[in-house]
Amino acid sequence: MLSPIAIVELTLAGLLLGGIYSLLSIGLTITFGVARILNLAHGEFMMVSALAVYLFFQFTGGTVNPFTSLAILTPILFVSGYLFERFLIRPLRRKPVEVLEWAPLLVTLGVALIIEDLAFIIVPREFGVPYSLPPTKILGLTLSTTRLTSLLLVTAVALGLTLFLRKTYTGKAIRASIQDREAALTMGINVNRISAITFGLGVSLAAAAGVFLIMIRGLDAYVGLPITAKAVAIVILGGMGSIMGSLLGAIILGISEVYVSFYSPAWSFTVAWAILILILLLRPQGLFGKRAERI
Amino acid sequence: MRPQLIISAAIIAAAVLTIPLFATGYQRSLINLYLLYVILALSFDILRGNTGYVNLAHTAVFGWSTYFFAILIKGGYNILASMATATLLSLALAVGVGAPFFRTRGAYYTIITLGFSLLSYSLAYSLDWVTGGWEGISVNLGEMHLPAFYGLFTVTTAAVVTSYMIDRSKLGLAFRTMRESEDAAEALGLDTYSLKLKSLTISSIFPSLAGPLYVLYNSYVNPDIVFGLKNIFAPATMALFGGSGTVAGPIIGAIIITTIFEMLFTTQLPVRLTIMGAILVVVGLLMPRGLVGLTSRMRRRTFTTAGLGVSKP
Repeated sequence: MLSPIAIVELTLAGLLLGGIYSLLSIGLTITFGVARILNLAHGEFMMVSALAVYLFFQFTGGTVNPFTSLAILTPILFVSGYLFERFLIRPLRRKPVEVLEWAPLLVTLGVALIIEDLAFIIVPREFGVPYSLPPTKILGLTLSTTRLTSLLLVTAVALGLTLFLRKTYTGKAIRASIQDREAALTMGINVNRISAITFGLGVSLAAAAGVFLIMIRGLDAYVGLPITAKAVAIVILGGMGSIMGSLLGAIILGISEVYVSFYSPAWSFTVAWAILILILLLRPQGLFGKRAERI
Repeated sequence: MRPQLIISAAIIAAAVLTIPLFATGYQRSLINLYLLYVILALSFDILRGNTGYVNLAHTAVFGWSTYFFAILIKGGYNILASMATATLLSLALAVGVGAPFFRTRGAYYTIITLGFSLLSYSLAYSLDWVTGGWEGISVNLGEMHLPAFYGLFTVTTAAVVTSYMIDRSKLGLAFRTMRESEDAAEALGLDTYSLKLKSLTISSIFPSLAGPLYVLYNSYVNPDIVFGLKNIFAPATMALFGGSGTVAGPIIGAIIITTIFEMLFTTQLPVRLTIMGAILVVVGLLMPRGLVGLTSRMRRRTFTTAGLGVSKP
């Protein structure tokens, strides 16, 4: 049986992993919601961000706190996401319906392969950021300060995002476009601009996830597609385009992954997918999704 | 069919059937690989070209068929009995698991079938006491390139003929009516759910048959070979590159893309993934009708909705 200390540690680790997954999958779900295009290159942006943190950490000789790279990386990746939408997603949106069902998958998969290949040329090995702060002692438990800080920052980002989406005009416009793109258009929302901003936001959320993930595990250039697959699972689980659903799905996946891999690492991903398929057979539209309709 | 067509088909068939007798081991496995991808691309397009549903689970069906066969052979069962069982099991899996997916439409359907393929990949890793995990399963059946070739050739022919027959049949007309508008098809009295099940079943037969034949000549399976991401998207890429909705398109696409894959992966170029990625981007962005679509004279089915640039949210 698990000791109480192990339970606290595993739950915290699960919450942190779930939090990271939630940033990643909320990023994916809002971009899907607005553009109705599944971006298979989403995880690549996370990998690029993690790679940048690693290079930054190596360059500064490990003296600078890697959390500070968050402040530099998110704006840069916001711009990349904005341009990604402008030059790749928007031309795809103009395709006829029957092309729209498959072309975006091929194009974004192609972009993902290109990014992975180039990243592998830069760093052809597993990379990690061996940075840790002195441990914290609370109630007789010894916990990793780095992980606690990550958990706090992840929560802060998630709260900030929620406030942004609920309180600001742009946030409301994003949610309106997710609900009904054409209705948003008739209400005078510049849907194209909102779409580009959403991709910027989604990609910078992936970048934030990358900064936190590289602090807890080693990654390599080919981590993007498997991580996109996880984000896709979470997004389907939560209901496509649903932010609350993604948050909940990510926490479920994060905690189950940590607990399952405590017993058997091989099963962590499978359990997640099995939960996913079961839920989908009961509710094809996902946990929080609306009735599935034709795009 | 016109007699000239039958005669030329017979000549091509005779030529193709005798080639492997003179080929070396590598050439034989390459020919088998071509046939395999033609089968997968045609299967994908029997569903997508007729009904419009983009199903990314055909590779997974093929993959489960290879695994079922390899496991049965390991268990010491007879080759033919194992083949039949593996084919039926994977067909049952394809239809049983695939049927509820039809509760979704459009991009949602595509993404859920992608989910099924990714689940298959991770299951093949996780169920390591039967699948051998990442080590996979080796089966030693001796030199089986020729039987595998004749088997794959038969399945390919069956897939081509089926594709052609559907194209000309009332069933094909019903499929295409459904593709243009599901609601209109229902209003016309067509049972769309049963049509979808029919197309799924027909298109899943060929990957189920091909699985055991692949194991026969490759004598090894592991999760990456059969369920890998490159494979999940391969049939779709080939069919769409060649020209979806035609019989010739998927065949041409499969042959060209397989050639490119083989060239890239035997030369070990450092940028081979970049080249593959670039092909995907070009096909998706610039070639909505594929190669066959470029020569409009060869295009038989046209999309009536092609002019609509706006999609419903």
